[in-house]
Order: sequence, then structure tokens, then C-alpha cells
Amino acid sequence: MSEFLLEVVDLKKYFPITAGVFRRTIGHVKAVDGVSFKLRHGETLGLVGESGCGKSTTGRMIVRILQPTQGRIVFEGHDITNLRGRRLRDMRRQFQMVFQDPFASLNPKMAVGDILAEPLVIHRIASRREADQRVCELLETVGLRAEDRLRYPHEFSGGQRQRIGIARALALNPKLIVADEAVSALDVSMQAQILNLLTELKRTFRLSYIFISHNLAVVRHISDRVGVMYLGQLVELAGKADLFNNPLHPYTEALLSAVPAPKREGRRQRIILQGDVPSPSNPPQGCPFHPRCPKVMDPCRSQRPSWREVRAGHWTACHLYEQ
Amino acid sequence: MPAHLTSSATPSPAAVSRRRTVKSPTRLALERFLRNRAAVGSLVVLCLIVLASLCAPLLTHWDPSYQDLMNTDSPPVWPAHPLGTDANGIDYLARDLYGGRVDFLIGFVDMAVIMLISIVLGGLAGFYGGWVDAVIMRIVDFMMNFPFLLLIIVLQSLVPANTVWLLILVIAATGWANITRFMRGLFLNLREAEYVLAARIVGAGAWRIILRHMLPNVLGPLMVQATLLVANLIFTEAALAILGFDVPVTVPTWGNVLKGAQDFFVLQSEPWAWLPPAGLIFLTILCMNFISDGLRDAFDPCFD
Repeated sequence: MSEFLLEVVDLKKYFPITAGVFRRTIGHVKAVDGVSFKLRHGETLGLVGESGCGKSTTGRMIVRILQPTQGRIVFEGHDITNLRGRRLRDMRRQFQMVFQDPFASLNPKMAVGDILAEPLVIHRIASRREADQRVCELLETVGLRAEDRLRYPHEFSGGQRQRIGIARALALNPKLIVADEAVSALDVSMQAQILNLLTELKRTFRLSYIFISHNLAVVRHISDRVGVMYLGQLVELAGKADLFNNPLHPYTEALLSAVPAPKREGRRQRIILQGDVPSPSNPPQGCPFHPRCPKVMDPCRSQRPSWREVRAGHWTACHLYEQ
Repeated sequence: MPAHLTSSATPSPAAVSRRRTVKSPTRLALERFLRNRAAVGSLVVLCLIVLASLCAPLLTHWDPSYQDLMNTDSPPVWPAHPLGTDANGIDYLARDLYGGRVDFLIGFVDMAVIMLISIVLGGLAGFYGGWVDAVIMRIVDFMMNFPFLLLIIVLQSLVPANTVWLLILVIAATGWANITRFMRGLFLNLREAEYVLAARIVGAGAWRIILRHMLPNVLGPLMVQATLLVANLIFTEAALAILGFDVPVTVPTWGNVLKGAQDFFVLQSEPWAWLPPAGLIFLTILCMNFISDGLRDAFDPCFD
């Protein structure tokens, strides 16, 4: 077994922009443009970034509901990038996803029990009786009651629905769960409950998470390591403490400075970025951040910085740290 | 919000022990439908019309093809001929009642076939998108421009036995394009729904997603379309009859009865000949429209 649960190598997703009668491709939206990272067994990797930076697209490619344009996804030493059909379906047991919107991620016409039993039926894991048993267990695992399996999604609150979504992701005993903004749609007290549940489940079932969020506090709470994305690229990746206390990339610095600090003396200098995020259909030459970077240098405008381990376990793509 | 809904959101332990039966969203929609007076009334009227044509032998002893040549163009005579007889001495009431059978046969059989075709093709196009969608939609475009009347005329001259089933076949073969396009749009909308993505991640195949996840969520608009389609088909039958491209005149259909009354003299002086079939067509289509309105309101309570 390989040391890493998941390796993502130079992953890219370009969405074509078409025009005219013949749907000619006139350009690409570079949603994800060369992302590489490795995830250890039992690790939680947080992915942060603002809207449209490609973090969700990355998550969706990892669970194979979006086909990457380029790059490789290696799960436990198996290249799953181009798996199809039956072999993909068998592999799907290993990685599941929790969605953002608890109101949209459950089929409103299916009883909760049927939603949770579906994965077991598809993968022929359990007979009907065993499936019912397992559904009860799952509901109790996520803090709901066994009799809730007879009810329909519209009868539950947002937090409860998110628990059902988590139970569905757990049904197949996966090794990896990609949580795409899993708590963003919930109110703060609910967020805390769901985060605690996720932490607890991770310990019980030896899960690994890729936790996608725009909320730095949430990511800091749950992650072991954190990756920062900007305009489809990973700009920095490091251990949680390292990244939050000692950010290297100017974008990370600016991002962290935007978090309101509870104590006055704890506040850092607020870095205010100029301008807007460039369009991913026409990203800037060189470093994607250079038009807004307060520390921009000449090479930033023409060369894309390489993705390198600047310190032990601390990766970044920035010309400031190139020798 | 009705009390039974709010109480279910936060069940107290006492409430749990004497639980109400769990109501699925479809069940709730049907209950909303049943509270809609116009729709339920229309459903009752429609059922009565359908029953009357199914039980025609109980309501009249006349055979709709029996010609009483000694008694042609008779005005209504109670109880022998309540609606009179036509130019060949056939009882009008019998023709009207038996005629409904053919109309409903065309309406419901073609509706079922067309819905089946459009769910399968629209489902595939909407689920897969890409080239599958492109191919199916080009066929739909072709069918939408297909001269349906021409096909019927050609078939009628080529096939010697021009029967009701031939007409049903032709209508089904040419009439599915619009509904397929509509269904494709509905399915396409759901394609990126998170619960559909979730089903894909869990490993569900195309048919499971189309039938278990997408179809139940388009049930409302689907049923609306189905009822309107039946109304349309009955209208089509009448229109074809008047144009002279229906089943043979000897077969009683509402359209054929109307066609028989297409005569200045009959229209002016024999309202019993054309009022009943026209009224039945009108009433059926009206009922179908009210029912489809009721279904739409029931399945989509947010719609105003």
C-alpha cells in the first residue's frame, strides 16, 4: 500500500467556451489549472479560496463526477483518472462526497431510508433486511433516530439533512470523504455540531477528508494541512499551524489578514488587495496573482512560479522564494 | 401552514409514540389536488363521459352501425331515438356514445405511447447531454417538421385496411417530438441537481438516476403535459375527421359524427345531430384543462 491515500498530479479542468452554430470552441475557462498535492491516510486537508477559485471543481474531479482535462488522480496507488463503467463503480466505494446545500442534496421524493439504502443496493452489499439494519445504524451514527428512515427530507431541518447527507456518504465505508462547503449553508451553532460530528466520525472510521470551504476559521478548526487556491491554482500548502502563523505567499497573507481577530492586540496589519480577481477564461501571464500582488517583481509578470517545497512540508508557488 | 405539518417538524416524545402516518411528497400533492374543487369536479365529469362510452350498450340498444333505412333523418323521438337518426337511419345517441370509445382509445393509448417515448428519449438526452443530446434533438427537429397530414394521406391510400389502430400508430409515430423536447428540458434542469450528483457518486447508473431520481421530480409537469396531450389528441381526431382523413366514416367517432353533420341544412335545422358530439368534445377538453391546472397547482404549490 502506498504511503499516500490520494495523489493529485497537475490536475487541470478547462471548460470550453463555444460560440456560433457549430459550437466552435473560442476559448477556455481554466477552472483548475495545474493542482498537485498528496493526502496521507487519516489526514484532513482543507482547501480554501474565494468563490470561483476552482476548489469545488477540484473536489468534483477527485470524486470523478467531472472528467479532468489533464493530470492524474491516484488513489491508493491506483490511477483512477480514466476508470470507467464497472471498475469506476467499484472504486466509488472508497471515496464519497458531502454536499453544500442540504436542501438540494437529498432527493425530495425519496424516504430517508431509501436514500441511505440506495448505495448498499447499488453495490449489492446487503440484502433488504440487512440494509434496513444498516440504515438504522447509520442514522444513529450521525445522531438521528432509527425511525427517521421512514420520513421524507422536507420534514427535517438543515442541520438534520446535512447529517443525512453525511450518513449517505458513510454508507459504503469509504476511506475518503470530500466535503464541499459542508457547513457553509448552516447557521453557526449547527456548523459547530456538524464539525464535531465530522471529527468524531473521522476518529471512529479512520476517514480522511478533503474539506473545501471559503471559511478560514472552519478550515483551521478541522484541518491538519491547508491548501490555498487562487484562480485555479494552489498557491500555498502547509501544515495548519505553519500556514496560519507563518504564511509565505502574499495572497495567503492578504487572505489571513482579512479574518477579523477577536482581540485588538491580536490584529495583524490588514492587507487590502487592489482590483478584482481576473477572469479564469483569460488569466494573467506569469503568476496568476501578480496584477494584485503587493510584492510583485519583474519575473512574476512573465514566468509562472514553480510549485516547490520551500521549507519542510511547506509548499508554495511564488517567485519570492525561488533561488 | 397546516397544523399537521408544523407539528411533525419537532416531534415530542409523546407525538412519536402516536405517530401520524408518514406522508410522501407525492401523497401530499394528491391531497392538495383533491382539495381543488374545479379539478375534482372535472375529473368526475370526465369519468362520467368515459363510463358512458364504455357502458354504451347499457344506455342504448341501438347498434352504431345499424342502418334503419325506413327511418332516416328522424328528429328526436322519445324513447326510440332520443337524439334522432342520421341520413342513413343510424341512431345518433348510439353513435355519440360509441364514438367516445374510439376517441378515448386514441387519446389514452397515444398519450401512454408518446409519454413513454418522450421519457426514454428526453431522459437520455437530458441525462447524458453532449452528442447523445445532439443526435436525439436533431431527430426531434426532423419530426417536428414532418408533414403529419401527408403521412396519413399516403398511408390511407397505401394500406387497404384503414383502422383505428393504424391512426393510433401514425399519431404516436409522429406526435412525440414536442413532448420529448419538453421532457428533455426538465431532465436537463435536474442534471446538475446535487441529489443527482450524489446518486452518481454513490455509483447509480443512468437508468436508475433517470427513473428513480429524475422522473419522480418531474412528475408534476409530466402529468400536466399528459392531460393536455389527451385533450389535444381528441381535438386532433375531430380535426382529422372534418378534413376527411380520419378512420372510415362507418366507424363512430365524435369527429365522424360531426363530419356527418357538415351540411348547411343539418346545421340549421338539426342541432341534435351536431350539438351532442361537439359538446362532448368541448366538455372533455375543458375537463382535461381543469385537471391539468389542478395537477400543476398540486405538484408545484409555489406556482401562483
